[in-house]
Amino acid sequence: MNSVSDRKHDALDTAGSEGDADASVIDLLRRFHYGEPAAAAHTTLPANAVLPALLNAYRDASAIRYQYPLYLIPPDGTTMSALARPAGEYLSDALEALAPDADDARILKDNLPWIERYLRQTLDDSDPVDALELLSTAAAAMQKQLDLDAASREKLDANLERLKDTLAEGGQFLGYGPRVSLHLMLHAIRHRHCQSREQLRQQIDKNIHGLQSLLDVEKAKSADANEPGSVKTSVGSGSRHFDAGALSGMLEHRAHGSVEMPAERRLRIERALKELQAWQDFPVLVRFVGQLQDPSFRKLPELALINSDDPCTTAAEVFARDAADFAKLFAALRVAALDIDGNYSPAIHDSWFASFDWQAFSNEEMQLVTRVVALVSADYLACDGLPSFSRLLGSRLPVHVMSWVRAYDNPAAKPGEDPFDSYRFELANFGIGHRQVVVAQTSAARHEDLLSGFLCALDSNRASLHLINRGTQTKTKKPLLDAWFVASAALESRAHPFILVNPDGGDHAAQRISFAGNPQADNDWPVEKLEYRSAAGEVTEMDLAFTFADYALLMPALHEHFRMVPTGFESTDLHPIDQYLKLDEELIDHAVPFIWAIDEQDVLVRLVVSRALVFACRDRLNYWRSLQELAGVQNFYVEEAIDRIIEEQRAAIEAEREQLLQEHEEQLESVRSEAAGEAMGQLVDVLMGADLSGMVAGGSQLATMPAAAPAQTEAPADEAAAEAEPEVEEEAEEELSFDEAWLDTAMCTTCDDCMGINKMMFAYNDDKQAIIKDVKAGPYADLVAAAEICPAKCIHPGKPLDPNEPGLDDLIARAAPFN
Amino acid sequence: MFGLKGDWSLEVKDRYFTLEDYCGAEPRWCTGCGDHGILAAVHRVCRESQIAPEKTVAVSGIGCSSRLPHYMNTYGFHGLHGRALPVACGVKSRRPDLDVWVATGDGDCFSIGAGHWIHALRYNMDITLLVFDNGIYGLTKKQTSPTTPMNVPTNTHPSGALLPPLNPLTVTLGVTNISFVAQIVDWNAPLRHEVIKKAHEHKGTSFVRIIQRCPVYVEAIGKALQDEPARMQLLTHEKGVQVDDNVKRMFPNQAEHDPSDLAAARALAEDSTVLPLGILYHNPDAPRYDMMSSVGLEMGVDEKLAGMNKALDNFAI
Repeated sequence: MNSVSDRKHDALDTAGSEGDADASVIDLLRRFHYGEPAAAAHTTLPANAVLPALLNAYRDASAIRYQYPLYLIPPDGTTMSALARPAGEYLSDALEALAPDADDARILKDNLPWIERYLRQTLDDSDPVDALELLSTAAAAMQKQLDLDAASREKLDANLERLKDTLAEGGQFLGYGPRVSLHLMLHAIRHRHCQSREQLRQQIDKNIHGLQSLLDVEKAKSADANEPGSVKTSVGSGSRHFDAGALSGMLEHRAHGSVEMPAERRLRIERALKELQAWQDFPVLVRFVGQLQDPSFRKLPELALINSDDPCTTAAEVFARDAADFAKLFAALRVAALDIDGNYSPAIHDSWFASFDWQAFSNEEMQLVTRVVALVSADYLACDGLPSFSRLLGSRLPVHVMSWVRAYDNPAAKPGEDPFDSYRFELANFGIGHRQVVVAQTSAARHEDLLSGFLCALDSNRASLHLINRGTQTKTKKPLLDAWFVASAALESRAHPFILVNPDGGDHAAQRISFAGNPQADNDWPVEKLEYRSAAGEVTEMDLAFTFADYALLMPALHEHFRMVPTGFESTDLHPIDQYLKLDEELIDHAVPFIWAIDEQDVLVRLVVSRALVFACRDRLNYWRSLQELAGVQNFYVEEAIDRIIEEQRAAIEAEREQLLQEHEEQLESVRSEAAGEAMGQLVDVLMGADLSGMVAGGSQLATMPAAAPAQTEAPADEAAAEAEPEVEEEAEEELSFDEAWLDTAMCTTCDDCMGINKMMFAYNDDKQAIIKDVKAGPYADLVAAAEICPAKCIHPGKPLDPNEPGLDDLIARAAPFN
Repeated sequence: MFGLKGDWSLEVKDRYFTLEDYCGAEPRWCTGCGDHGILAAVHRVCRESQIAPEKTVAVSGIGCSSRLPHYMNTYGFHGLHGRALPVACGVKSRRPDLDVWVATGDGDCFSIGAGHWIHALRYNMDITLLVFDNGIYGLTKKQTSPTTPMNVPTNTHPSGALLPPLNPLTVTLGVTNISFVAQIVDWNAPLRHEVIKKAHEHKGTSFVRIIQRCPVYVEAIGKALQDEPARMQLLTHEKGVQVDDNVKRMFPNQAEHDPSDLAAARALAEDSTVLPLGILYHNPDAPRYDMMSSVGLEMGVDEKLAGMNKALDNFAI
């Protein structure tokens, strides 16, 4: 097992050179920090292969088990199951459940990491792949690679089949790539709609049937139905026993009493029936609306893609159109339900249904409407698309907006502008400002956070905003770090902190906000240990904070904000950036902030950070702290209140203590005076002439006698207890005996003695230790002989199976010590 | 950090070895011989470590014990009587990357091989030294060995040995720079497996004395011990071997012993009334000679010439 701390790096710890050279170096670095162009030209840019120190261990992602690829669990109708789990974890849990014994399926267990690696390598940023197919391919590749002997190969194949059987049909593997969030959204929608369309169809059919029955009853009441011909057909096979004509005449007579359905009701029912019958099921569950440039997105029946330059407005229109279609269906269903139960009241319901639209949908009905997701770039949302975005968020339409955000950039910056020139437009706060919107700011690297945001939005029937950071770097040809790690770094460095706001939780921020997805949420920056080797060769560790400046180093475009500190240079003015940010006013003028980084040769270097970047760090920190406060972490008001309460309590306790002390004093006084009085009284009595001699003598006799008796009675009690114990133990031991023959395999010493007696009865397992292969393969005598000869005494013959075996009494006696 | 779990590094080996990959010829030891169990334990430890068979070497001297290399599908060296250790040390000093097992016996190691034994222990090269102590010269059909008990008649001593037997534990614990001393019996499989596994993992000379039954020549020795489990004392400690409660129940006599305490280990070894089983001494930090003797192995010819010239420059006139 490796951890970051196992990696050793060289750091240069020697004292720098003295004198003027020193001063000029620090001066130059300080001038760069303040932004002087000449100084910038005379200092060295960071080498291209430099990574923040804490991320160096992850340069080679091929050997790292991070959460992707995921296994997407197919929907099974229950709402509580997890939607997706890391594939490696899922497979190893399935294998453990299948073969809990350590020696069972040993070869597969030892080689599961190989399969996991194969999955990770094959699933490079592509669309989801059918799980059973890919697993079969992986299994075949593994068998080829391992090249085992025939027996082991067969066993491995059998276990692989067992493992595949635990995977339900329709499961998929999903690798990490730029479209992960789209696939997970689709997966979440599939889960939520798993049976809803079938249930809708059933409901429609049921109501059609109900309405038709009503109409049939009406028809049965009409004059046509009373004709002898139709009477005969309606009775059916027994009609020859009836005189159809006479029956028809009677019915005609009785028909005058029945009540016909009112015309407007009949019209209403017919209209509703027509609407229900006209409804066609369709497979589309979600419409993605956006500036879609990627034609390679796979065509799926559940997905409809709509191109648009103003996705927010188009999405609203699309939803309104879909909702209008569903409104007609839901109205018809409601009318049908009311009419079937006979509860429709024209006075109340007519006007209601005349204006029935999506605003009147119930929660369950809203959930059935095809979902609409607008895919918009953050830049468009923050600039040209802002008005339609705001309108959408303020409407009551449950349309979901998904946007991919660059964590180091400012979405409101025009192209070509320096991202640090203006304050960053926080789209999340913009969303929160619209109050009734579900806002989820998440990292694509954390699938549970992504999914919880999606499910929260899907279940809430509210508009929602999903701001997702993917970590994919399109501007560099060969990124140093895997996209998953870049996305994780954005989360860790507070560049893209996690927050989930659900207005359904309540009116107070504490009820609405979920903050738990942030690492070390109580701290400003997360702090981790880095182990390194100093120039002297000793291994030490230091605490490093992972700040926004560290994250910025991952972006080649921002490298101009960093300059290398010459190796071996030391100065008291150099401060790590997290400490720099806490410095007092007086010290900050001379101080120069830096971050630790590691180059390709595993050498620790320091990089001075520009002032612009420091401002950005402060801005990030301020935003982070404001989020913390919203979430109730490091809340100033709360801390004040706590301090105040502690003070009050302390004062109260002090007061009580004072009072108690006083009472105690008073009581002491009164006791003293009482006792003094009593003692005096007794003394007076005695001196006045009570009989002293009798009291003293009697006392001493009483004192000596009881001592002797207990000593004598104790000894017999001990012996009795001692005798009782071994008996109890023996009984306990004797109780353990089995009727069936058994072999304690763990104790077997592989000596072949039992095989020598009967090769069919005993065999070796995979660890070359004996098991009873077939207890009926020989007489009881063989079992007993084997038990006697076994050096480890691990064979226990039990009771004989065949009562007719000769010499059984003798054998049973011989077997007794082994049972 | 970064949402990674503790086991974030994926160690995928591209070759996988099953138990059969380490098994050589069918063993020809007598039925009931304790050597079978020791061989099975060695196979299992090899399989668990997944070290390639071609990177493993089994070295032996002469005796029943020394048949072991033939029964392993690895490299092996079946050498002269008493000379297993010099060969093993030679292999290790030249090829420190190989995994070296030494199979020797009470005669091979404590008698003719005694000289090498003392010094191999001090040199502390990374080998796993298994001494199959059956208390007799078995292959040559029943002669008294240094560890034969006094009351056992043999072909050389029909009335039994004249002198009390050698105590290999006190001798081993008396050598400077030893790093791992353990004692087990061959018939308790779980304890045997755990101790041999720990010996194999230890970096240094791991001395394991295995009290091994010889059912043909000295059945009495093994039987005596098996019939009196109280004569053996299981050593327990968090730094020692960890065994299941089932195994612990087999030993009515148990004692807590810290393997880093050399004085306590020596006292245990001195005590002739009990046979301590488990790890008596373990020092993971003792210096190893194979680390020093392999310095410069990867140097090329040019580098060596440069080094030699530099040294000779000190003497140039």
